[in-house]
Amino acid sequence: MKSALIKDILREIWKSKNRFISIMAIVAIGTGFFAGIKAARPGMVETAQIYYSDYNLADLFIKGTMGFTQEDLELSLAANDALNARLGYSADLFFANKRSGANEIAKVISFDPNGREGYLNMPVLKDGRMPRNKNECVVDHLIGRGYAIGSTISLYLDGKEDIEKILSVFDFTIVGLVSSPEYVAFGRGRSNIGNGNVSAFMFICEEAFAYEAHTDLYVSFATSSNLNFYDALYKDYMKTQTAAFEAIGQERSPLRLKEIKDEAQIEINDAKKDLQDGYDEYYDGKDTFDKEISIAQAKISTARYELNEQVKLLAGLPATLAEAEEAYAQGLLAYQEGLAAFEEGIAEFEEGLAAYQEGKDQFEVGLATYNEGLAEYLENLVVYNQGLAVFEEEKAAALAALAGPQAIVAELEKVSAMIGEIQKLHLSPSTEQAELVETLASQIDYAVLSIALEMSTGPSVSIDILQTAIISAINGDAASLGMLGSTALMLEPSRQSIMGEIDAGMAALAAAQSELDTGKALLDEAKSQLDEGKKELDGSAAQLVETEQQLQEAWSAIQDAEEELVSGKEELDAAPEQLELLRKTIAEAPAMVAEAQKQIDEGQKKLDEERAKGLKTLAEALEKLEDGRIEIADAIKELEDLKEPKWYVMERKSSPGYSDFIDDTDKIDKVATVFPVFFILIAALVCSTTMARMVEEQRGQLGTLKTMGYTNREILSKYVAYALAASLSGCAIGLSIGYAVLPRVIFDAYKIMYIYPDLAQRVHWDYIAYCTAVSAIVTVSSACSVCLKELDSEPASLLRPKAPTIGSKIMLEKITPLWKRLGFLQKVTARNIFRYKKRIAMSVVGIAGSCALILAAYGLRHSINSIVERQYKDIFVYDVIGIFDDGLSYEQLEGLKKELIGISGMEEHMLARYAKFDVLKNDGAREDHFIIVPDEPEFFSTFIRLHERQSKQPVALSDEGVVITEKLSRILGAKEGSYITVFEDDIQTRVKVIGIVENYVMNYVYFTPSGYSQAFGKPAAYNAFYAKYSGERDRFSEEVLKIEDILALSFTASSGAQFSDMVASLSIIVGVIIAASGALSLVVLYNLATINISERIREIATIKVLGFTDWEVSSYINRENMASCFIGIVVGVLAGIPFERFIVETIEVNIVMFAPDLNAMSFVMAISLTMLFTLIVNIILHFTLMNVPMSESLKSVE
Amino acid sequence: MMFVEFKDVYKTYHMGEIKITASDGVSFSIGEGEFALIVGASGAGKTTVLNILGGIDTADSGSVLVDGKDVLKMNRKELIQYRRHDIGFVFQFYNLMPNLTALENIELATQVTPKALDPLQTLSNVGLADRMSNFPSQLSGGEQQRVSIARALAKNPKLLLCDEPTGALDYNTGKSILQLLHETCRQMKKTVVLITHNSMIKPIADRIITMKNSKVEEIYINSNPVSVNDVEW
Repeated sequence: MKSALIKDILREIWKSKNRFISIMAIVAIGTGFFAGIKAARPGMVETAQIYYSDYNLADLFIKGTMGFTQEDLELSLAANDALNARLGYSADLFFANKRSGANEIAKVISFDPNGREGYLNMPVLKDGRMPRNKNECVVDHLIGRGYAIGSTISLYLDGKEDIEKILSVFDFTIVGLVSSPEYVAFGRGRSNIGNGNVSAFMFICEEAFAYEAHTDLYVSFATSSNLNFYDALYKDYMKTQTAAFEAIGQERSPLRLKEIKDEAQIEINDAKKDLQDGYDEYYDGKDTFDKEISIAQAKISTARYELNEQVKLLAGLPATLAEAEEAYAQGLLAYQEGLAAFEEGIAEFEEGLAAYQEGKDQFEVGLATYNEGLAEYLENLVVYNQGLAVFEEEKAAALAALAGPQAIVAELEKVSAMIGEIQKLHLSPSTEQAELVETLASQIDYAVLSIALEMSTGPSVSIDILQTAIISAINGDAASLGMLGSTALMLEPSRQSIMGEIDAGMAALAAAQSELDTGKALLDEAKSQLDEGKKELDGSAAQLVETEQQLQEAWSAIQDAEEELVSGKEELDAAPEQLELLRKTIAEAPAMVAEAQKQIDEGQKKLDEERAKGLKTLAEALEKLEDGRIEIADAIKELEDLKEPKWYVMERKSSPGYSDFIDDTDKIDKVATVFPVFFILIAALVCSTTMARMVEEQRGQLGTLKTMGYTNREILSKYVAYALAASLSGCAIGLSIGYAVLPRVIFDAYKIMYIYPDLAQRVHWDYIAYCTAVSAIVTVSSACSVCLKELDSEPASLLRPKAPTIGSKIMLEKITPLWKRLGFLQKVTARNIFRYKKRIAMSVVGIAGSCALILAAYGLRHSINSIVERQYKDIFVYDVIGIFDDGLSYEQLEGLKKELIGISGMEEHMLARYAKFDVLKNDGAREDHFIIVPDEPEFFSTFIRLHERQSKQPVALSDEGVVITEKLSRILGAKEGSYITVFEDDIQTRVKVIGIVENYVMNYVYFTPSGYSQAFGKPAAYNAFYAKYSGERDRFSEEVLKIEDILALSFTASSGAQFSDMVASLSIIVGVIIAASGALSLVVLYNLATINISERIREIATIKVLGFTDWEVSSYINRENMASCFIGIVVGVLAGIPFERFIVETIEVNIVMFAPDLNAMSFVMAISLTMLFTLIVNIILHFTLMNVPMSESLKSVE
Repeated sequence: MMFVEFKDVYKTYHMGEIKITASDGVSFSIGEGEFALIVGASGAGKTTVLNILGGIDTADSGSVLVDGKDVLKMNRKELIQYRRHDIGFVFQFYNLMPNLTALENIELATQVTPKALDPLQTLSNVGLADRMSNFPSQLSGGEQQRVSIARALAKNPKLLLCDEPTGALDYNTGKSILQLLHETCRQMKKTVVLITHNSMIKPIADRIITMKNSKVEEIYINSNPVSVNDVEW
């Protein structure tokens, strides 16, 4: 290609980017939608394929009526093409729904924690860990609240089969949550226990099973791992393998039977022995029992006797109490008296003691005084004696001393007297006288000498004087005689003094003598006193000793009394307590007695019970033993009757959801074929128009290039390149977005119904190539065809402007009355529509196409969404259906009915048979649907409204035949009056269809009870009831489930909610279609409108120059768009109705009938959305038109 | 003040990186009722002037007064009203709606103008009353141009703008068209601005504005315009 041409192409693209982009967008939407939806199915099945192979989903799942042995496993492994095989256990058991407490069924499957790589049907751990010992389990991650990791789940059976034969452990700790490749849908399959509806699966370790033989055998094949599971190849391959394994099963059957018989024989022998042991044990037990009972009875009798004694004793107690009380009172009194006496005694004693003390003190004082006195006396005696001695001495001395003076005195007196005689003589002087005076004077001299001698110590002077005087006086001298007189007188005092002295001395001596005498007397008195005191003291001492002795005696008496009192007090103090005790004892006595009586009675009762129980146990044991005997007998018989075991070989498709998933992906594939083809058609149409327009616009250029000598191919290459560029880039965008988004959205939607890992998406180069090729071919070929047509003409004619489309009168104008009524611009529009027939037709097709798509999509959504409302509000008007055990007797059913009536809030109810049964399809296959046999068909419309869909004409049940649901009639191709073949419990019968009723979810065949018994030759076994109730659901549910036979309840409201969840996935796909349709119609409209503008740009510019307002210009052009939009809508709606029907029928599944009628809302939405898109395009165009340059009007016609 | 006054009008087109000056300070004026010619070679800027005057293009600067109103200052809406009521446009290639009859093409214009003349009357004025129901494709070029002129006149505009109205026609037809325009406008006292590259017809105009290189080269006022019949080219 010339570089100028490449430049030309690039410039062309840039210049006409709107056109380029719109082609690109249409291609993108068309291919993206097609490829995206088309890729959904492969992506989904590949995800499933990877999932199955990652977790080693077995190709065959075999169940043996008598289990499998290692030998079976080895045979399987040795089978042709076998890749892997393993044995396992499984069982259907009950567990309690944590919320309602209802029995739910769990599929309990074994899991080998030591399983090797490639472990078949490996559970998919969602949370937690796999079990490691027999007390652990992992449960279905959908099991629901209440069964979190760490909680426990208990399994049980209600007596039908001994659960101990199945499991060795019944309570399991949940350690993990799992899903399983076996369970890809939310259904968990059916079971033959309970209501038959398995609600969860769980895995436990193999060792937790107690089965004698493995129940399950899983096999996978080498070839199958290389096949796509959804391919026919796989199905065919599996058919042969199934047959092969059925053959192995038949081969193994007699061998296995023998094995079992041998084992059983051993067991029977053991059982027989056990039975004998049992009997022995029974008799031993009976003896022990009797013995123990009699001992116990004796014990009770003793107790009773003892009680009686006690009672008697207790009866005497009140009297004792009275006595004691009195004694106490008296004692108290005596004590008080004693106490007073004691106190008195104490006082007396103390007084005595005080007196004694006083006496003692006095005695002491007396003694002391006496002793003192004695001492004093002795002292005084000594003093006296001394004094006496002194006195004697002194007396002697004094007497001695007095002798001088006395002599003096006597001398003196003689002197005085001789002086006196001298003096007298003197007076009568004589010679006699003078001889006398001489004698006298000698005498006086002598006296005086003696005095002087005496008086050496005395009055010596006077004596001297006297002596002198006397000597003088003797000498006679009268004067000396006067002097002698005076001296005599003078001697008088001395004599007086000496006389005094002597008197004094004498007196003193006398005094001393008297003193001494007094002292002596005193002493003597004292002595006598002392002696008296002594005597007295001795008396009082004796008395004191006596008193002390008395006091001591009194003290010991007091102490004795005190002791007595204290002990008396103690006794008294203790007495009230004792009295209280006694009183209490008396008060409590009756209760105690009663209690004792009661205990004895209870003991008796217990004993009686024990006895009864023991007897019962014994009886039961005996019965059991008898049963055992019968059982053994039966077992022997059974063993004899034992049929050959059978292998049930099941393919993957028997797992719930497995086939449904493939079917559902087929549905998507159909949608992916129907919708996108439509899309691609529209896209192709629009692309070719656009390309054609482009070539036409450039015919001048074409001519020029041609005249310049370019070959057709060279000229063509530009347009081919342009078309290729647009379509390839469109493909790239569309495919990348479509692939990235749509399969994921769809798969996510389907994950509402299935449990698979995230989408594993592979790039599908085939689809990419396919889409790219188709879009490229469409755009390029349309470009080529237009181009070649133009190039066929002479260059000259190409250079000439193409004659403008000729204006002409249209048909409408001939209808003058109508034409006249049209406004000028309306007329113009009408003419233009007919003038640009081709383009308008294209617009109409585009708009009609998207309108039809939207209508179909909305219709589909309505068809799906309205199911819930119709099925669960209009048809199923019952509130709840309850399932109970099959095979209840008539009496039991009557009882059940009564119990149901008793349920509070129960408004109406009716028994029915409700079960799955098979219907024969035209292709010979059996398909399971539901059979409903209401007890009272004439009132059944209270619960389910049977009516014809379109006419709403009620259909009555009749004994003549069956009423079937609409979808079933379509599956079977049955009409009113035709016959269908049904199976119930393998009884095959043909029944006449007498009515076809509206129904959407599931397929039902309705019988009357007598119709049923005619058909199957037995009465219908009721196993369900329909009910209407008022009040709270939970309370109602709880109350109903308390009835023993009720297995499960299913509420219409929750079924409806469940179903709407399920169909929500389809709504998403519908949403995708709506969005894509909208996008497509927008692009188509815009594209066509742009072409319209480009074709008529001159015209538009001219009217703008003429002064048309923007609005007028827009309406001038858009009026045509609106018209084509209206026509398109009409066409689209007309085409959409059958289209929707087609889509609905394509997508529908067997168990669901989509509402086939279109609702007004779908029309409203389709029409209004299409109009909205037109409006949006018109608004965009309005601005495009505003920007059309008026100078275009001045250009020459090309 | 003159009826039309162009003052220092500049206009530059930007074509990518290339600037094209289409009006380089154009100034002129035209009196009411005048038959004015803008003459010049191709690319002299005639059409730009006409577009600006007709309100279908704008200028960068200057002013364009028409009957006292500045066209350059008008907003989009005012421009539409201006075109609608004040301007009649005759195109070189007639620009008739191919899907409308002759009469309808005139009606297309009169529909939007309240003071419009009677379409049929106008059509008969251009001598095509008998062809009123014919579609453009059924008319000759001259006839189409007559319809175009009738369409322009039927709006009863203040100003009639003609873009080479004879450019696509043969001599005789062109001449007759020119005559029709000339006479009709004289008769209706319309102000006419006609652009042409044919300088031979200058004598028929009241005012001749010669343009060259986007500038006004000369303005000549012809005080004695002659009839179309009197000129040959």
